[in-house]
Amino acid sequence: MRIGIKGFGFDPVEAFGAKELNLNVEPPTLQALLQELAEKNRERGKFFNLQSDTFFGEYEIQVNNCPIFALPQGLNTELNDGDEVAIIAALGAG
Amino acid sequence: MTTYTGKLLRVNLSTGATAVEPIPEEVITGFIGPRGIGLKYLYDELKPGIDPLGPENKLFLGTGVLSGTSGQGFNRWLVTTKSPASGAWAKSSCGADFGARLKIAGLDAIIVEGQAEKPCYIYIEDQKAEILDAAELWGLNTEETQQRLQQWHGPKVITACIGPAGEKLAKYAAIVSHRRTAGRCGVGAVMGSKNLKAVTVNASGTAVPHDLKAFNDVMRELIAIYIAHPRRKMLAEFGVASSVLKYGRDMQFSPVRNFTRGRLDDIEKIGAPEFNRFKTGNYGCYGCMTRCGQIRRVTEGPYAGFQTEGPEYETVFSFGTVLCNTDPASIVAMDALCDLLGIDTISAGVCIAFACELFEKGIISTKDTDGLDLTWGNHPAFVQLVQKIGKREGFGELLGEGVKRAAEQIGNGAEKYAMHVKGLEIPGYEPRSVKGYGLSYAVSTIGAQHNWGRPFDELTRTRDPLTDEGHGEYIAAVARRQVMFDNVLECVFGNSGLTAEARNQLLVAATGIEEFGDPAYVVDRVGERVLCLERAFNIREGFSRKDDILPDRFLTEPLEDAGLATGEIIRNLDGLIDEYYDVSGYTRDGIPTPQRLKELGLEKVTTDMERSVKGKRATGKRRGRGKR
Repeated sequence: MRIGIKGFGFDPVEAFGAKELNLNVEPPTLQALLQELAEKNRERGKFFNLQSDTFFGEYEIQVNNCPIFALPQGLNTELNDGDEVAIIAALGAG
Repeated sequence: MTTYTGKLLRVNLSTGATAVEPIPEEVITGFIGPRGIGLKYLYDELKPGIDPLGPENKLFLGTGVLSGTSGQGFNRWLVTTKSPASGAWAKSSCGADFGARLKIAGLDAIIVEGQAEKPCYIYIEDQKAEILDAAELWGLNTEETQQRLQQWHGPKVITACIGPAGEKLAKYAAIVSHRRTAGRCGVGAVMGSKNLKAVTVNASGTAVPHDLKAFNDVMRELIAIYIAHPRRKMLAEFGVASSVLKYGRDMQFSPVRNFTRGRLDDIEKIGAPEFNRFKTGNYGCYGCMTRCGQIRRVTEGPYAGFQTEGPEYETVFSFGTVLCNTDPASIVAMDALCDLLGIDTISAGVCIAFACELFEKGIISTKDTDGLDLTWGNHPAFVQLVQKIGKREGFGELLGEGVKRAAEQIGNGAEKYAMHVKGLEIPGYEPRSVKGYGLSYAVSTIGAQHNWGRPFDELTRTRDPLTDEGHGEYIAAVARRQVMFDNVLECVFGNSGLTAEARNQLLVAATGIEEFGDPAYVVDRVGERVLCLERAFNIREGFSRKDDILPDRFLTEPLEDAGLATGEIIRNLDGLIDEYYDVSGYTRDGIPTPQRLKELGLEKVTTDMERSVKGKRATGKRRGRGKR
């Protein structure tokens, strides 16, 4: 299945080689997607710790405009063909 | 035509005199916006050593370069003064509509000086100001005050005012407009010390840029970017509290239990989705389409009826994580009380956390706290204590002095648990987890503040936040960038997707000043100049390197249960400060060198520095920290 990747604060083509990723794993979760992206670019992929499969949270991650913290299944959210995942450089809060 | 009006309203509350005077062009070009222009005026006009709560202190309320225009997210306003919390330089900014209305009224800024004999407010219309009687307003909360002034002057007037905390000179009293606050540094206490309850502006229209077409062309492109930006949508839906789970749970940057640990059990209960159970609508500052303000109302339980426009991240930290409180309704209640009473949520929460730790250690007991059980997480007691602080009653009278003074009065080792820098309570980023923040808090000219020098890249771990070296140059750079934000009064939330190039195009189109097209001038040159003059202001007040410190806790106590930062301390603060001083052109004592002052066009300050150093050697004392 093809998942659209949007980068904010960086270019996803430069970082990961494409604006889309063909995700062919079961189950096709957000965690699996982030893991693949992290493996494609270990420098940019710091949002995901490959050693521990832990999401660090340095970036804001959204699936179809819904932030990760508001997804009921969080990292275990299953993705569907045509979904769009946005990776946004984080911002301080006030 | 330009977005600068070039006019400043001066109001003397002792004499009753009001006058509009021109702001010299070289001050506008050389200092750009309210953080710089306010500093320039007050550096020149305030005598060193004055009481911050005396008639000699002055209050500068300033608008940004793009205030009042159709520019999105540029309508904050900023207060500068000498702080009663620290005795140092103060700056505190605020959203809502007040800044835009001031600009539309034909003013770039107001300076309030002197002290009225009785409560008063300032009413501004068409550059004319009147000082009017505020006897009926004194004692009202900020919502009641704003409503009453609308009844008197019409529904369209916009007001900035203080609540009971400002009237009673709480050292972290805020100035409030709508439900937004200039919260930090005790600027509301300065207003209260002048018997000034409110400033009300009656104005409508828009500020017109120098080159309207060029301005609109850039803005049109930016609006398309903003509309598509996912952060805007997230902020609109969840507000700034959307960062709570990222910084508190995923990264464990949020301080817990009075800055002793990084993990809070059940923090999900105070994540943004939980607060949205109370959401009834959105609020936006003047002209902002992001509208990140979340109107939330508690409808059931012990806090039913409390309504706020928040809480934002810092407030969830100050009434949540740092107090081990996971009850979201109580946080809404305390946020609402702070807005109504006119107090800073960060300082109030950190003061309560300080009291909780003293209570835990047995340094204070219910005999000292008016019977309140200040056990961690006991939110009913916290809500009562916020009311006592705002009204300055009982134990709240003492905590309203801030942790530094309260610790000095309590004694018995209480100072060890007072989390502040230069008398300003520490905000919601743990300095052992983000060590650039540790340095930033220490060298900040206003005390510990999250938006004095925000290390964005350490928050994303693009830079290593745990290294003990190499933060100095970076913090100097982000501090300069923050000066730009405070001069342009650019909201970092309302401008997701704004580029430096677009910002500079807007500044030139708005003002016609070509230098503003160069980031090296707007950010670096003016940023260095402002930071250097702020430091000079503090040195003149008797501050020195020994004040650029952090509480011992961060230097000696390993941080507990904080993910990657577990066990961390700040090992090399002196080295980091040396780095910062070196790149800033300061001596190792933290004093701007004559050469640096000359490079920045601040030659006249050299004499002040020499005099301050000599005077300090002679007396060894700091001057003017606020008597009341």
